[in-house]
Parts: sequence; C-alpha cells; structure tokens
Amino acid sequence: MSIESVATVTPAGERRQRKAAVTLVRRPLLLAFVLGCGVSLLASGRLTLRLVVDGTLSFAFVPLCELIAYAVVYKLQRGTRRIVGPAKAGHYAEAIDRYFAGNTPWLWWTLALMTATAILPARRLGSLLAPILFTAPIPIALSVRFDWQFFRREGRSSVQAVFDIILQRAIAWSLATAYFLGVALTTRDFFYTFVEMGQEIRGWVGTML
Amino acid sequence: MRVGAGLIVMAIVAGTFADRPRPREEITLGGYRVLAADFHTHSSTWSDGSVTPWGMVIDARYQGLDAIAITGHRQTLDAKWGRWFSTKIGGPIVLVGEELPEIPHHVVAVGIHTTVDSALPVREQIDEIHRQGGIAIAAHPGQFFWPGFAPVMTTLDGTEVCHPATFDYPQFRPELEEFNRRTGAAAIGSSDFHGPGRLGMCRTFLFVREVSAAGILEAIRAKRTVVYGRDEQVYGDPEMVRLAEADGRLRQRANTDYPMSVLDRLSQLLGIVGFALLVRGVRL
Repeated sequence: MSIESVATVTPAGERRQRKAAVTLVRRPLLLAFVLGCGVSLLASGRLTLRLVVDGTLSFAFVPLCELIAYAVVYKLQRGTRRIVGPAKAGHYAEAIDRYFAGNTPWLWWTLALMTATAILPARRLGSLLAPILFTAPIPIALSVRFDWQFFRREGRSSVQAVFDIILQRAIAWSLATAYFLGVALTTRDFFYTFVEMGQEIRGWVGTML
Repeated sequence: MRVGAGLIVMAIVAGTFADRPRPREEITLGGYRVLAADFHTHSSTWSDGSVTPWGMVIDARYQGLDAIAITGHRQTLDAKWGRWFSTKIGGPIVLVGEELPEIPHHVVAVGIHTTVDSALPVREQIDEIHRQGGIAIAAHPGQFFWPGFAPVMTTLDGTEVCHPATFDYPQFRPELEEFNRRTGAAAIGSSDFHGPGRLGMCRTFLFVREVSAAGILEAIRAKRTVVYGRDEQVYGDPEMVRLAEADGRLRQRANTDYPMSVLDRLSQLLGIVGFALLVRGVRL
C-alpha cells in the first residue's frame, strides 16, 4: 500500500491536483477570453473591461460545448488511448490542454477579425459578414487537421481518429447551435438563414471579382 | 507569452479609461420630453447576440439611450432579465419584446408580457401583440418581405426606416422608405444589434408625454417619432421633424460615428499585438 493511498492527501498530491486543475481550464479560458475581447472590439471599438468580461461570459458556451463533446470522445476511447506521461491521474487534464491547442487556427482567425474591426468604421461592420462566412472554412479545415494529428498521437487509428472528429463536432456544434440560436431554431426562418448566407457570400465574391 | 499578456492588460486598461458614457442631457421640445430608443436588439442569452441582457442595459447607458427593447427570437426571458436589472440600477427603460422571425415577415413586438406564437398568421400575430398592449414593428421590411406584410399594412404601428443594412446596401434604403410611406406607420430606427456595430446605431427619437414604457408606446401609436438615417436623411412626424431640425441636438445625438481617441487606438493596437504574441506562444 503506497503512502499516498492513506486518507490524508500529501502536499505533493495537492500540488498535482492544483496543477491538473490549472491545466484543465487554461486553454478553454483563453478561448473564451479571446472571444470576449472580440466582442468588446466589435461592439465598442476598444478593449474595455465591462465588455470583455461580458463577452467572455456570453461565449463561455463555446469551450464548454467543446469540453462536453471531448469528454464523451475521451470516454469512448478507453482501451485504445495511449497514456502519455507518468501521472495518469492528470492525463485527462493534459489531454484537454493538448486538444484545445487545436483551436489555434480559430484564435488566429479571430485575431484577423479583431484587426478588421479596428480598421472599419462602426457603420460598416455589417460588411464583415460575407468575408467571415467565406473564410470560416479555413480554421474549420485546419482545426480538423490538428485534431486528426492529436487523436493519432493519442494512439487512435486513422479510422478511429476520423470517428472521434466527427463525433466531437457533431456533439459540440449541435450543443452550441442549440444554445446560441435557442427557440429560433424552430422557425422557418432558421433554414432560410442558410439561403441568406449563400446570397451574402455570392454578392461579396461578385463585388471582389 | 508574458509580453503578450502584459500588452493585453495594458490594452484593457487603456480601453477602459477611454470608455465613457456619451454625454446626455434632458431634451424637451414642443412640450414633449424627447427620448432616444432602440427597439430591436438581441442578447447573447440564446438569441444569437454577443452581449448579455445586463451588459446591454449598461451599454445602452454608454450609448446615450434612454430606452431599449430586448427582442429575442421567439422568447422574452432575456428581456425580462434585462428589465429586472435595469430597475436595480435606475435605468434605462427596458421594454419586453421579441422578434417573430418567420418567413416572409419579421415582426418586432414591443411592450408585450408573454411570447406571441410566431406560427400564427401575421394578422393574428399583430392582433395578439395589440391585445397584450404592445406595438408591432415591421423589421427591416425590404422588398422581399412586402408580400408577407400585405395583410397588415394598416395595422402595423411602426416600420424600420433606418437599419444598419442601409449603410452596407444602399439599395435597401429606398425600399424601407417606400414601405413606410405605404403603411403610414411610425418611423422607427433600430440597430438590430447582435454585437457588431453599436447599440443604438440607428435609433428612434420619441416625443413622449410621460417618461415611462407606457409613454413610449403611446408616442409610437401617435407616430410622434423622428429618425435620422443614412446621408442625413430624416424621417417621422412632420411637426416633430420641424421641432428637431430647428433645435439641432437630436441630429448630433443620432450620430454614433464618434471619433476614436488616442486611448482607443492604443487599446486596439496593444490588444492586437498582444494577442498575436499570446497566440503565437500557444504550443501545438
């Protein structure tokens, strides 16, 4: 019986737990914070505390939905996942931390959006909609690639990694869409939104050409 | 990464110092109190907005608005939260509303108590809104929506003549103007705020007898509104427009393109550079 199996948690054990807790939340918090700063710039043209905090709260659902989806995928990976590192107890936190690093394309894309809001006058920010829709596939594709590499490093086969990616996105995007759009999902207008998006992109591309 | 984080903190400090509520003064014209309002806004509480209901209440103060309607898609819960919060901090006036986003007509209901079934035919939607004591506004009634509003052209209380889309799509403005002419309803300016832009970017000036939600609704029913749109166009009741133009202050208050200060630009620059360094430091 090891010393650490005694009821009292040792200082070393406490430190490991704290470290695991920090590792678990730092990248999800970073993602929410970046989105909150984006909201502040979009809505006021500056980074102001009241809107940064409010925007972070408003978009905390994004990393939260990712966490929930990844937790499901992580659970289903039991038996095929390669344990990395000596501290198995902290593996889930470390896995979350590595997994969320795959959001980097989205962080760069959000940064580009922030730069655009700093350049455009407030009355013209609506014109960003078409470029946003047109360029969104880039971080989508890149994050898929990073996630595939991540799951492969975790010990998953190619087919399993594809399954993990599809399942994670199916859960995360469904949860996020349901929260973000709410009851509006049940209206006919929701489906027409995709028609409008297509018209928006076509119009913008036509203007650019 | 530490340098990046430090720059971001400095950016937030600079931006917070630069963030000041727009100066407000009580304006009385022709015996009426003039209030600035935005009747079409969306919060982040499951209504595809970017700011919480309470955040919008605070932002309304910063944007110099006396009243807002929080009009979530097919729900009023976020508006009720916003109204509760507003009563705790002493304003602005928050009216409970919703947007009924059905094709081919979007109706904004303001001053209601419970949600209206958006699956109802538009005529019954308007009747239910009126039954609850609210007012019905045609939201961004471009030509695409005209057939949908055909049954209710004489029962709408207001139509949006200024909407942010008119700044990106110039051809949209004459459509909104024509629709307002055909209905004869009150001219309304609304931001349709989802996050990008400014709350109250398009706003309605109401000439009220009483500074309250009831007073606001009464002013709309009586069509005592003035709206400033693109290219300094002005819409609304001719007598109220005459009063507003003779005074000049409403035209100034309608403009939300206020210049960015040095602190604003510093906040933007430090923030962007800081995030670039921070994101670059994230290891894959």
